[in-house]
Amino acid sequence: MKYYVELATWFKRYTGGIDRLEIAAARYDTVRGAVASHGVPEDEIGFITILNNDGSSRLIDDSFKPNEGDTFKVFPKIIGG
Amino acid sequence: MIYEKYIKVLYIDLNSQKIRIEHREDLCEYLGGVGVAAKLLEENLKPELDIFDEEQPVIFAIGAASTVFPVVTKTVAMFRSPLTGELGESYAGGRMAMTLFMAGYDAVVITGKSQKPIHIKISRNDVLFKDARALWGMSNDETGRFIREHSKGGGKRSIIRIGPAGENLCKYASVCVDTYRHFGRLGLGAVLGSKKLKAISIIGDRDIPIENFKEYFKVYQEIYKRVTDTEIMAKYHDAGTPINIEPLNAAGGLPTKNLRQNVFEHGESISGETFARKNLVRKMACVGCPVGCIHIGQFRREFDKGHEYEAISVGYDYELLFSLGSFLGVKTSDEILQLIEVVEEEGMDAMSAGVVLGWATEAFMKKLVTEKQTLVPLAFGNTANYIKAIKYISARENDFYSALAEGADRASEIYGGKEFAMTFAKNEMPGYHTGYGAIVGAAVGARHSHLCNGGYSVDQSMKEFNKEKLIDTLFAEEKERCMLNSLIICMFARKVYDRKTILAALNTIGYSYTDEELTAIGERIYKTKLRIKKSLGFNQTDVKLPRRLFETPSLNGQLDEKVAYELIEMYNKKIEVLMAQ
Repeated sequence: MKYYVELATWFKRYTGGIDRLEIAAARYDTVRGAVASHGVPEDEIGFITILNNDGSSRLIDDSFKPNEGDTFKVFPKIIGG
Repeated sequence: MIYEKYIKVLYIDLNSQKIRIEHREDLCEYLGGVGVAAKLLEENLKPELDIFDEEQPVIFAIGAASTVFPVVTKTVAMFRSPLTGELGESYAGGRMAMTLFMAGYDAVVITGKSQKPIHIKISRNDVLFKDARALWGMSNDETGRFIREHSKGGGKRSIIRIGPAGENLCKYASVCVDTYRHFGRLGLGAVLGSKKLKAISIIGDRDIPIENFKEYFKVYQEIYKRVTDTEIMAKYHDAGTPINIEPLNAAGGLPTKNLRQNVFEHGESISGETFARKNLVRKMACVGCPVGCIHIGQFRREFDKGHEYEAISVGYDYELLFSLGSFLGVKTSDEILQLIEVVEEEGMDAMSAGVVLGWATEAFMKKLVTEKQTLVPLAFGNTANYIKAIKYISARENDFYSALAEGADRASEIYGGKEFAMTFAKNEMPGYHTGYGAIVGAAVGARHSHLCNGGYSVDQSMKEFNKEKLIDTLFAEEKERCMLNSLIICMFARKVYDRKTILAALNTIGYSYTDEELTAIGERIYKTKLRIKKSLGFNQTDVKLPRRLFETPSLNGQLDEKVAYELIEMYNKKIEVLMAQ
């Protein structure tokens, strides 16, 4: 089973410019863990959303189990302004 | 002042145009910065008198390590806020801290009121009082340019001035510092306007040799490397704080259209990435900072027929994109920059201006006010009319705009709509609808700012909601930031300056403190602020939160009003214990 992860632009600095990952689900427990294994520091991951069929998205947490073909988007933590 | 056992305070009386200088050993227990400023405010404040009474003081102070180490760049201003009626505290970067340091002052206390507009020029052991009638009515930009062109002292000089909004006592008027930096929040510009103080320029020209250079340079380099060679500060330089738009919008924490929504349908078109791609032309830094977090964006404006254009540059950051962007439904980066430019020229706090206009728009939509009062139809996304409205507020064009110049809380008292006047204890909200941390943090924060205790940050880091843990974290952070602001370290660098680093840095410039003593200094400062607030009649239990906060879901879902008040009460109990010690 595979799913896909789109990375916010900020994370490209950690992935050699790659902003879309194809993940073999069996290898990782969580989307966060999968993204971290591609070089993104885990403590920099702020929010993960899943793309719904209607084009909208919703926030997920680490308990979410990915399904075949899911697309997630990963965002950095917010910083003080 | 480094290597000295006193705090050097310059007192300026605008009534008599006399100055005096005091060397205050007793203030050393407040270290510097906000500690010294808070104590001087407490000493000089006249709670029984009107906010704009000539006897009310304005305090400026630099920190114990200002500009001596990287990213220690800010000056604090303390005053009685005309917007909230209580503690006024605001920070600005630029060159001001460096010039005060080089002029030999740790703090400046300004009292009195000039009979005519005035520009004061501060230098080492001297202050000149210059007639500023010709400057009155000028915009921030014009005033700065005039002073730069007509007086000597470029380089180690800082120019601080107010715009028309400050002259007209708009309660959230800002003070422009050098270029693109401000004492933005809580209305310092109106206080200076009430004193007819149009501008202050500071020239610092002395040299202070470092005594233990080898040890100092070792610590300096360690800090410099952490700032420049690690990822800690990289986000602030890269896209800057506007990077927040994307995650907050995705997670449902971006206040949009007067918080009628928590997601902005045009979020992508105002994101940090969009600004970087379309508008970013330059990055700048405060003196003493190697980061360069000040992002300058450019837009094109047609100034005449026949394809006559000019390029306008303005500074932008997250709070401005929220307040003049999503909060007003403004959907392009160019339009947001246009609004920032007008706010800048008039001399207003951009956050308050945007939030006030958000309330005004909804009040107009709900027919609480008519077009006869608003003069133009206000609608989310209508930038052209917002530009006019900002100018009307600055000029107090009519009764309605005069009410808007008093802030959203006051305007809603007059016209109704309190439930959607997005303020915390009369201070307009910041751009984080992230959960209880943000709400309670702003409500209980000494100056009702998101920067008092970083509640929004707690919201995103807390794995499971826990009331006690949330309150303990906010309380500890509020005290810690009092200590950090006694130095005054830019809050962006708070992860660089851990306790060990702070102690090492202070030790090389003549201050010998322990970890426990830094904790005690933080508490001492916080207690001073709380005493000031009490003397000004502030009572936390009087603070009412706008219902809208609990109608629109936050990043952490729907919030319960009762829980928020329960958390505030828990925090109050901690304050009572602290003050009884």
